[in-house]
Amino acid sequence: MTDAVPPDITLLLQRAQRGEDDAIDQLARAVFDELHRVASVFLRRERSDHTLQATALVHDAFLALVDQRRATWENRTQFFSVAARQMRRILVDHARRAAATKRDPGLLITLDDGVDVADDTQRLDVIRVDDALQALAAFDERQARIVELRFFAGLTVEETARALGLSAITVSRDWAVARAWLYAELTEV
Amino acid sequence: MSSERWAVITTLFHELRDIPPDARERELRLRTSDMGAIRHVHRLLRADDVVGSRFDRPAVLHVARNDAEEVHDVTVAADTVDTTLSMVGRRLGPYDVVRRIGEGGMGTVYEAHRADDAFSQRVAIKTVWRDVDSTLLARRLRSEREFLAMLQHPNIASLIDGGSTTEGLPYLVMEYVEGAPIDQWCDEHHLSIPLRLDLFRQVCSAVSHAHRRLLVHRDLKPSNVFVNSEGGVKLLDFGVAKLLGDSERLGTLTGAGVSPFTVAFAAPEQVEHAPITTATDVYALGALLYLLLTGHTAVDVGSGSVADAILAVRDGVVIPPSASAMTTVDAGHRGFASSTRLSRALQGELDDIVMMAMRREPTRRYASADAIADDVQSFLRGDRVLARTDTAAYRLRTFVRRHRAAAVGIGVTAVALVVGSAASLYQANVIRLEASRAERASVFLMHMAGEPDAHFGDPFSRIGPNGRIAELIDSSLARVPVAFPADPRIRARLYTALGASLTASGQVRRAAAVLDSARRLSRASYGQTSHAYIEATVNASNAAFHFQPPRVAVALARDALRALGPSRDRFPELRARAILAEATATVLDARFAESDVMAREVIAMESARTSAPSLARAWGWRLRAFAMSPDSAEAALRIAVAIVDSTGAKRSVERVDMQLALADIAISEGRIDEASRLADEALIGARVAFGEWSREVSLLKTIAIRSATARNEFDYAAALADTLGEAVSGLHDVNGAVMFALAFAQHEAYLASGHLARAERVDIRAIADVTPMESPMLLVYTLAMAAWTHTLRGDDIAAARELQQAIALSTTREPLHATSPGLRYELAVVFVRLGRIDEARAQVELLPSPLREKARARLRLETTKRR
Repeated sequence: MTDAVPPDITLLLQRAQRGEDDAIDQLARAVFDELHRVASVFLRRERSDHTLQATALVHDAFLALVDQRRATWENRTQFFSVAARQMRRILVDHARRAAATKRDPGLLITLDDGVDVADDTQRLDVIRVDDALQALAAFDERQARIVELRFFAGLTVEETARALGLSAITVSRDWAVARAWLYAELTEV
Repeated sequence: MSSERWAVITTLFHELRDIPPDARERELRLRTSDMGAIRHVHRLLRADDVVGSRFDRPAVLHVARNDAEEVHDVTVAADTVDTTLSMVGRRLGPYDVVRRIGEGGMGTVYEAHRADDAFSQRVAIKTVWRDVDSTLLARRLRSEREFLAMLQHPNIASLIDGGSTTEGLPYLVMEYVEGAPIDQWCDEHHLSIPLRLDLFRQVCSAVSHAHRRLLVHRDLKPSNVFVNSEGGVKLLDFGVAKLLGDSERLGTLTGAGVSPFTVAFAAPEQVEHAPITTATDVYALGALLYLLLTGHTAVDVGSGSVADAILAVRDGVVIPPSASAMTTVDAGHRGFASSTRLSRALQGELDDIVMMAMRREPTRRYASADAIADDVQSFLRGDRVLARTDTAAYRLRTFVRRHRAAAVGIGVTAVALVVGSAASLYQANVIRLEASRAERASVFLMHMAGEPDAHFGDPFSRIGPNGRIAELIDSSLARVPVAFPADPRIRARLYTALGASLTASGQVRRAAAVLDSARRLSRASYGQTSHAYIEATVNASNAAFHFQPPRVAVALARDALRALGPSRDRFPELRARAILAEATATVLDARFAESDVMAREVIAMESARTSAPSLARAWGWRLRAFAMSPDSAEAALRIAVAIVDSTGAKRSVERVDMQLALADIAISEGRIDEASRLADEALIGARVAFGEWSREVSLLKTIAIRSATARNEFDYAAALADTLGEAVSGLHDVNGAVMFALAFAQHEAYLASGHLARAERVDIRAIADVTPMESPMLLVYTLAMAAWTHTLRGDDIAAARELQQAIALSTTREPLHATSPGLRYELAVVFVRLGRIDEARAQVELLPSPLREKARARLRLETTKRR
């Protein structure tokens, strides 16, 4: 859209670390743009299921945006928590738009049976996960953050633990509870 | 809900989660009387039982999936929770479902018994989940059924039947396999290495059976390779298998719950979404063998990050099994008392087999699953394995057919090493170290050391293209005695630092003199065991290494180690440098086994000391490459490069050295394009950092010359050699090892293009440069070079003399033994030409078997010709 020089994310991370509000905003915007780009490519192209690639989206963005030589562990942590939040926004927006399109009967597309969906496990409605997550955040902020990092950013338990400064055991216990709660919310209408 | 209430519910959830469902109600009531909380906990536990891996797949996939489906298909019915629960107790066809065995990628697997009396048969039934798109799943189950129907093999779990439930959901009836995943089974039964290899061969056999039917499994990993109660291997789950030639052949990692562990068995082409072939399974077999041998996966999944595991697979960095970190427990499971013993057992042929199966390029792996099985069998029988003979045969070919470079058996690689030594390890540390001491000296030094950085931007570009750093060192040296006449301590520290800078800029003799002063001053003023003395001594060892026999550098390094004392905690960075200094000199002395022990020690020390990338650790891997087979050496060098890169020292001498070594291996393995690419990459940075006429750039140019020679572009190679010669004549104070590397490329180009006189001039200079180093390795190579030129010029007497010297030297060091047959063969031929037939025969009789027969035949021929 613009030819402006992309902002120096590593520098923004360092400034955000010091609590400079405008840096945090700029950072969120830049991360949003990059994630939006990679996620759109993924969503446009990938009809079949490349779990691995999906997991790597946020990591790819990290590698693309942040100068590895200058970035500290704290920067990495900060990046992932910003990215998880933005990824959630992007995906929920996308799902909302897709749902709106589909409700218009004129635009209904028939599923191409030739598409090979290699992974056929369970679906989740991301919009409803988002709603439920907002409710969860009201009484357990930490569990909601963990879901955001695990589910929306695709981080492993260990990565999540590092990003939040918790032990892996705490994360996996919180994750089990939050997951069960979300599932109950989603299935019990 | 309030946070406090939720905390209570969460706690109860965890307490009850692990107890059986029917006991939960009672336990809950014992703990609380809050009916609301009890209801919440029940609800959570119910959800927990069925949630499965739904949330383990990243959200983006759910969005992508939902996009791909029609809108009416999306809603998950509220009652699906109950219906997914279980098939237990139901009857499917003639089978009674008895219990749940586990969850697969698309459904649940149950144990069932045949209900009619026809057989009393136990089976496994694979179902699909109900709350997902059944047409897609049905298609997959159908294809698995078709694949299984094609396969009949004792080591593949067989298909018995198939059908549909009353709801129309398809299922498969399979042979029931009672047992455990192969790695678990081996550990539980404490299987020795040979027994593990036997089981592994069964896996190969099953995979090979599928391959012959053009079927690629694509998901070989321990959880799909079971060993049953009779100790037989059963390969399971062809759910993501593909027929070769099918439309979808691109490598993808499929299945729910991709974990770093799964990634560890994926071939590079799978993570890169490149075409997959049977070679993909060959890689996974290698990865499986790796696990069985060492107890851990080839790809480090320790950090728990899928992305890191993907990167590791993509880079193809595999540490040879014997060099990987194994525990005493792992060793115990394999019948060894310690991990060192296990490592020794894996070293050599088993390393080579695994590394060949796991090569990055699919075409360079074993050609088939049978080929690995055969090689494993050869190993068990004590025969030579293919992975190894490959390179041995190649070397023999170069000896016998090409004659040229007859003696250079272990690779010219060896030589490049010497460029870097541990010199810049110093540079990386010194400024920080000095700054931490609040002495006047450090202020002075910072001033001095700070300036070149400001001028050249990159602290590693210390050998400036225009020699300004050299000038700076000179003026500093001159100012030291004037500025600090009464302060020997400061003088000592400054000489130590400046001495290292002199070494780095190539003025090694001056460096040695300055460092000698530094040692004397620091011993007198700080004491014999002081940091100052030790540092000066290590630096002196580094300087000596470049122009004196290896024993001088070794003696200095040992002096430093003595001063450090036995405690490992004392100045660990200096200790690492001292050991590396000794190890580097030991390599030049062609004692690879000894240098390898030291290098390992440094790697272990550094890994324990810091998780940050350490140049010392990188150099440790660089040195280890000498004691390894070409494949393993390549892997070790890649590790070294990766470490150097992550320190940011991309333009260091060490990096040039490592790149050069990698290119050297590529050339000797016939991968000319790759070698050129490696050298070209390094050249760009080296030109900027070191200048066009530097030894670094000159060394990298040797790759271009050798590539041209290997491509039979002889005139071009000779022209490049001429240019290199000009650069070489401008170099001074460069160590003999570097001079050898430069000479070797020129020599080869000149001989190949028929410029024998030029070749001889190069040889003579090389001998003069190398002799003072007293390195048996370099001398053997150089003498062989000279001998070959003399043979071609018809000066057999000179050739015989040089060959005899080279043979005598080659017998003094184990790693050089490999060169003796080639040299003896040459000598025999020369003796025949000189009419000294008995001496020729004596040499032939000393040759190893296949070469001996060949030589006898050729010798008779030469004798008859003479008559």
